Amino acid sequence: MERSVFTEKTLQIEVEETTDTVHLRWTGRSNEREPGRFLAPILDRALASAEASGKLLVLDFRALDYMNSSTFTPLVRLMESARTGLARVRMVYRSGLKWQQLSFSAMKVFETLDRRIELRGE
Amino acid sequence: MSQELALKLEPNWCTIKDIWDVSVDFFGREGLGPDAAYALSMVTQELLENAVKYGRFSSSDKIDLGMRIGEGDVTIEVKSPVSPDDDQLRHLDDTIQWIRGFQDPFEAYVDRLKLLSTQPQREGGSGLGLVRIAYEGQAILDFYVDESGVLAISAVHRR
Repeated sequence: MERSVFTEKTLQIEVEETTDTVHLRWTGRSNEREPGRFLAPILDRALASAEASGKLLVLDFRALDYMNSSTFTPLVRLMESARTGLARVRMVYRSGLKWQQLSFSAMKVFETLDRRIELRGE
Repeated sequence: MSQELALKLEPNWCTIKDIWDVSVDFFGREGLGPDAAYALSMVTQELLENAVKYGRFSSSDKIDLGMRIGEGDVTIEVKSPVSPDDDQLRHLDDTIQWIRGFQDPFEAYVDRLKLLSTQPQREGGSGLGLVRIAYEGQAILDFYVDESGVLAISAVHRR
C-alpha cells in the first residue's frame, strides 16, 4: 500500500493506492484563486495510474468542508477524460450535507450507463 | 426588522477567504439554519472572488460587502470599481441573462458543467460561480454600475 499526502494551504488530499483502488481523500477547504494548478497534476496522475493498473479511482469528498466554483473545472475535466477513456471512477460525497448533495448530484450528468463512472452519495 | 453587516475589505485573496468564518457566524447568529448559513456564505465568497478577479482597484480602493437579513429575504451585495467599457461587464450581463433564460437554475448549472468539462483549464471567466449562486444559493442576481464606475452586484435569496 502506498500513501502520499498533498497539501495546499487549507486543502489536503491524501492519495492511497491499494491492491484494488487509487483513493483520494479530500479534507479542508479548496478556496484558492487557481486551484487547478495544485489539483490538475494530482488528478491527472491518479487517473493515469488507475487506467494503467485497472484499479478503481475513488475521489472521496465526504470530509471536504468547502470548495469554490473554480475547483469544479479540474474535476469535470477529469470526469470527461475518464468518460472517453477506460478508467473506472467513483466520486463519493456526503448526501446528508446539503451543499455536497447539490454540488455532486449535478455532476451525475457525467455518469456512464455501465456505472464505470459514478457518483455515490453516502 | 432587519439585521445588517457592512464591511470594507482589502481587495486581495487572503482577506476574502477570511470572510467565510465571518459570514457563517453572522448568518448563523441571526437565526438562519446551518444549510442556509452555508449556502449564503458560499454566495458571499463567490461574489467576493469575482470582485477581486475582475475589479479595477487603485491603491486606496476597497471592496464593500453588505449582508442584510430581512423579513422575507437575504440580500448580499458586493461593490467594486470597474471600467465602464469593460468586456467583463458585458460578460456579466450576458451570463445573468443566460441564467434567467432557464426555468430551473439546475439546468443552467449542468449545462455550464458540461461546457467546462470540454474546455482547457484557464483562470476565471467560466461564469460557474454565478450559476452556482443561482442554483445552490437559490438567489436572484442583479447588478448596476453607478456614475463613479462602481459595480454593485447583488444576490437576493428568498427565505
